[in-house]
Amino acid sequence: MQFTSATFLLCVPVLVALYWSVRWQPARLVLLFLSSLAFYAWRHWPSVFLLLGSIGVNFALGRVLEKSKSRALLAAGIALNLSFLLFFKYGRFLHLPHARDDGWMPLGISFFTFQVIAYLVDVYRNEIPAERNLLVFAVFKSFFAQLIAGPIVRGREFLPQLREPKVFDWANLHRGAWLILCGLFLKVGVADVIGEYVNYAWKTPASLGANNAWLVLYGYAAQLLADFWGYSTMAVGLGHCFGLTLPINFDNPYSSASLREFWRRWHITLSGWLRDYLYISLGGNRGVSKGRAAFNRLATMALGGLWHGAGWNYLIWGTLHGVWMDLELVTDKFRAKWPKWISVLITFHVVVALWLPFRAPSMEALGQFVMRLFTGHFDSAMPTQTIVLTLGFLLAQKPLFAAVRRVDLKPWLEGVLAALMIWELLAYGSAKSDFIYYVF
Amino acid sequence: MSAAARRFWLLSACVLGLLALLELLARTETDGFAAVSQRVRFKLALLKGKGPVDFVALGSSRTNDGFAPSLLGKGVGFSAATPSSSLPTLEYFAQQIGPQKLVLVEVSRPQWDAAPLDLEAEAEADYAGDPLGQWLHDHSALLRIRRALAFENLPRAWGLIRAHELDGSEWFRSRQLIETFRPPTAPEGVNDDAAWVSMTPQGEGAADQRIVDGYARVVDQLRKNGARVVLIAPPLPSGRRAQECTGELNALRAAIVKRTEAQLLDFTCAPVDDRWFVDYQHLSSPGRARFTRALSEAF
Repeated sequence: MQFTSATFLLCVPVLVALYWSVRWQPARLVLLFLSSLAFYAWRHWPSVFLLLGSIGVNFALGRVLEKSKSRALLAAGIALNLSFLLFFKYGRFLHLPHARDDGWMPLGISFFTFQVIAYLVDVYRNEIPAERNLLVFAVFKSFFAQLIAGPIVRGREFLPQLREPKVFDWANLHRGAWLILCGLFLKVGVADVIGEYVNYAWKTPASLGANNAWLVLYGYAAQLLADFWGYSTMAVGLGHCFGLTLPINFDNPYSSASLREFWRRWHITLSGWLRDYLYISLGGNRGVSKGRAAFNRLATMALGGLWHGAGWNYLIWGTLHGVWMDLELVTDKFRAKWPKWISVLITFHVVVALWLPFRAPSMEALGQFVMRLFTGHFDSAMPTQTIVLTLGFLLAQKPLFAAVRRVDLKPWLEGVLAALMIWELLAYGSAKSDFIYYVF
Repeated sequence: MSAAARRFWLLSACVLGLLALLELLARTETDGFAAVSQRVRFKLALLKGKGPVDFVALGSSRTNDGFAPSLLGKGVGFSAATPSSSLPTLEYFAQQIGPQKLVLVEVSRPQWDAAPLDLEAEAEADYAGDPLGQWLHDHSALLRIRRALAFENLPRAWGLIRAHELDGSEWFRSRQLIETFRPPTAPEGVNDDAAWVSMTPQGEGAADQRIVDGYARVVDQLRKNGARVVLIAPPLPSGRRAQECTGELNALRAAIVKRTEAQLLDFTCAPVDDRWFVDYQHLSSPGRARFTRALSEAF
């Protein structure tokens, strides 16, 4: 079920009330598990069987792996999990037999596959014990707040929270409600409103005026951040409502002074996953030659790009990020002499430019769009609403992140901000569209 | 109650209280909010607020931009033309504006669009999998008029308060921003007075009966309310004129005239200078004055 749907938003307070009215932790977990399955099944009920199968198999694998420490078993477990991802997500791209032609895949498969691979590796590395309680493991794997689009939660940080009985805390509930409201505002009031024009423009890029093409370029940067940051903020807020702490996924990424810093601030849980389970597994940058370290970065970013989708555009996007990161390393000493704002400005524009292959529906459309950027006519019909929201959102990043994060806002200020967000949601909020990261 | 609990209840009360208050307002002031939230409803409310007038103009953005009621010289007038107006919009106006003395009705391609008139001003929404969202969409007065809360729509509320001073043409100009940077005077060196002449459309080809029938219904409705109806077709810049001043479209306008038996002041083929326009089809401020003068002369 969509986080932004009225039905979901009504279900949450009911669930929260039920959850805290029960004092027995296993009963609370049963409630979380069943509601997670119900929300997941709401869109496509057969997917639930894949999820249940994955829970059962990986729970057993974890237990066996803990005892045997067999590298072959770990490899088999990872291969098994990846095989579903490969089949559903990359089947068409890799021309696998029986791959679906319509591009459909179970929601959140990329996220929960990575989550469970991390769990198996952590168990194998002795970093965490295998979970002994199937119910705890099932909630770890299926908790609705993070199932579809993350944050990618690690066993070491989430499993202990599920085992411990929670004590109701008003501060947590208040924090959760605030974050849910902020996330809803970012998604429906900012991302979807900007997205209406951006998505429309990308349908016929060849007809865009140069001025509107530039607007779409920056607009998409704003849309994507507001969309995914909004989702992640709601997810963290939902966790708080149930006394569970989920990791934050965004930390003012467009203020980064380098791409390496950007990836420490953008989709933080994915970056952390790629670093810990791919980059370091490939050899990382310690004890290897500079060339090998550069290759490791490039390979990690290319695979990270592919994780987003089965398409050359994602591969190109990830690879270009890797190339630029390598270039940054070469020029580190030189760039250190610049004022920081120049580095921030350059990094921001590199990120924005690289969103182009990420967003383009095809290479042909990408080519047409780039042509319009530099050779298009001036179109006097400009979408004022998109301009104002894009500029406002991108220029107000620092206060926006502060307002979402701060726990010590004055109550009157919080009330005013809440009223403004509700006002904006009502006046401009878009009535439809999915979270962009649902398709990843 | 702990401070944290107070903060939670304060936040909840703020959000739910505001929603409840706005829903209540939307239910008690439905007409006012509806008028602010939607262009067609706004122009209708403005017309009603202004009181009796001597003539009303109906049409699309081309008439809204290109016609100044105060310059026609036929008494007190009002422009109820709205951007993106379609035949269903014209029919709606014809039913709603009540008894009038004289009504000018635009005959032009934008106006021929069959797009349904969506008075709720709500974007198409998909509530699949969201039964509560669907229920709210069907039952909430606030959601129906929510666009009234948009900052750019709020001045309309002020407009409704002083409706008696306005003639309707102050709103929804297509290129207002660009126009503010242009001189309000006629373009220099233009001497095309001879071109500003209404022509009788002539052409061959089968007329689209949907369009002809639509105009017939509009004109019949207006006449039932006692109005004299005059059809108008604003001029076009050369590029667009080449597409619209064709045998087929001239025949269509001729068929509309024949069927409605109304006078048509047709400037579609008038070879006026392109500098009177602010874009590919809309007259600029000086162009609006010039076209209104031409209409006045043609009467």
